[in-house]
Amino acid sequence: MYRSAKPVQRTLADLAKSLGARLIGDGAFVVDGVAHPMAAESESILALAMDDGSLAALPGTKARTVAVAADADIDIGGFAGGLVVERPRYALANLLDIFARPPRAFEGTHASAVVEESARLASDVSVGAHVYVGPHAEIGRGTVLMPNVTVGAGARIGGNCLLHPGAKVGERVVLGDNVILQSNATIGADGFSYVTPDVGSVEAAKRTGKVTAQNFEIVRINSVGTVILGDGVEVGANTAIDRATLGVTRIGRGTKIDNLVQIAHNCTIGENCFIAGSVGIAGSVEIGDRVVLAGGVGIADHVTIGDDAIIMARSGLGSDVPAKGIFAGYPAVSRETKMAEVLNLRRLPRLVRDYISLKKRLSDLEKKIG
Amino acid sequence: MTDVQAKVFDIVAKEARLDRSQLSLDDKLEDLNIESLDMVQILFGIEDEFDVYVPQEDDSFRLDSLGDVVNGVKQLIADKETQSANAS
Repeated sequence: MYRSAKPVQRTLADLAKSLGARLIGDGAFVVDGVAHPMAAESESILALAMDDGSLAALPGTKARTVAVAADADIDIGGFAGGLVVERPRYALANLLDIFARPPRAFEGTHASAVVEESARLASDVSVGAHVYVGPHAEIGRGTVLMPNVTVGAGARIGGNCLLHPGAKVGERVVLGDNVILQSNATIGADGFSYVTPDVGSVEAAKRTGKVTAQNFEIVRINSVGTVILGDGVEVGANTAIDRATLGVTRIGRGTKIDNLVQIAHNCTIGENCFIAGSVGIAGSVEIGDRVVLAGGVGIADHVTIGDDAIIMARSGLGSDVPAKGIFAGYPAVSRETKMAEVLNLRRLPRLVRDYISLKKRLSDLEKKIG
Repeated sequence: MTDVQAKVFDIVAKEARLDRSQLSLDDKLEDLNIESLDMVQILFGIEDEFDVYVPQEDDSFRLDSLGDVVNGVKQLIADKETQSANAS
């Protein structure tokens, strides 16, 4: 049996209170969903018109209530009621929390799941088809394991977590409460840790600037550490967070990680960070709290990034970034330096033209004088 | 509207994706919500269009409003023409 999402109905007045929005019109009007104005299938849907595009679509809507931004130039007198919001995206987050559509979770433990005898699961944990839960694993109240999730031996998963199909939690990994792993997120794979018995090519190149050694043999360094994800961490689809060599790869509370991100062994990432898609973070990087890494950023090993820094898309970081720094480019420099570099690069053709012109004028002058 | 003003407005409207008909000399750049990367594109456009170099760290070259931008460009053009006249 699968859990169904219970239908949600709220009055406009309730919604106004929850959102801190200004109510217009009939506060008793009952709303049972939200949608783009053109996608509203009934009068009881709240049409979301909090940007110019959806505002323009309002005339054709079936909805009788509407949410608009405070600075919208519109008369919503023709509707039964409306909500006027100050911060549209924040209002959207609240509305989609109220009218959430959680995944269809299995009630209880599916017959095809394998839960080892010594695992300890809270009574209301949902265990979907083909899930594996290893020996001595612990799973807290309200957690949902969608089909094909694996939880390794000794792993601990907190309460109200949601692990989407195919998510993998390695042995001894720890997840706090309210953690979400999207499909095929892999937490606790071995770190990319190897050594050459003798000095290798990279070691030699760093010392001498030349390739004077070769990697004829690669020896693995086992990863015996773990990963800890704090409360409220979210990890995107196909993202990998590797276990530490000896200690802990740690992701702080509230941090959100997008799809296809690689976080290497021994990293420590602070609280409430945004890490966008395709970011690659090498080993032993330390990232502070509230840092933003835009898409495609690459960070070399042992770099430190201070609190509240912002790293712009596709930057390559080989050295530390101070707190509140805004860095861009490869190699990444402060944004002001990068903008000046870009502007001067753009000027080069004209500078060359002017240089040639000046050279000719100088030559002509010298001939006149000479 | 002068030719310089018209061209500056064309560049700003295009690079910042603004309604050209709504622009005025009194508009403050920060009120137009122009993103920093768009501002760089606007500087590119101005330098290419007028064949000038916009000074980056010159406090006398203010860019608070569109009027400042237009006046600044006119000054840069005048300076360039003076330099050319002196050279010939």
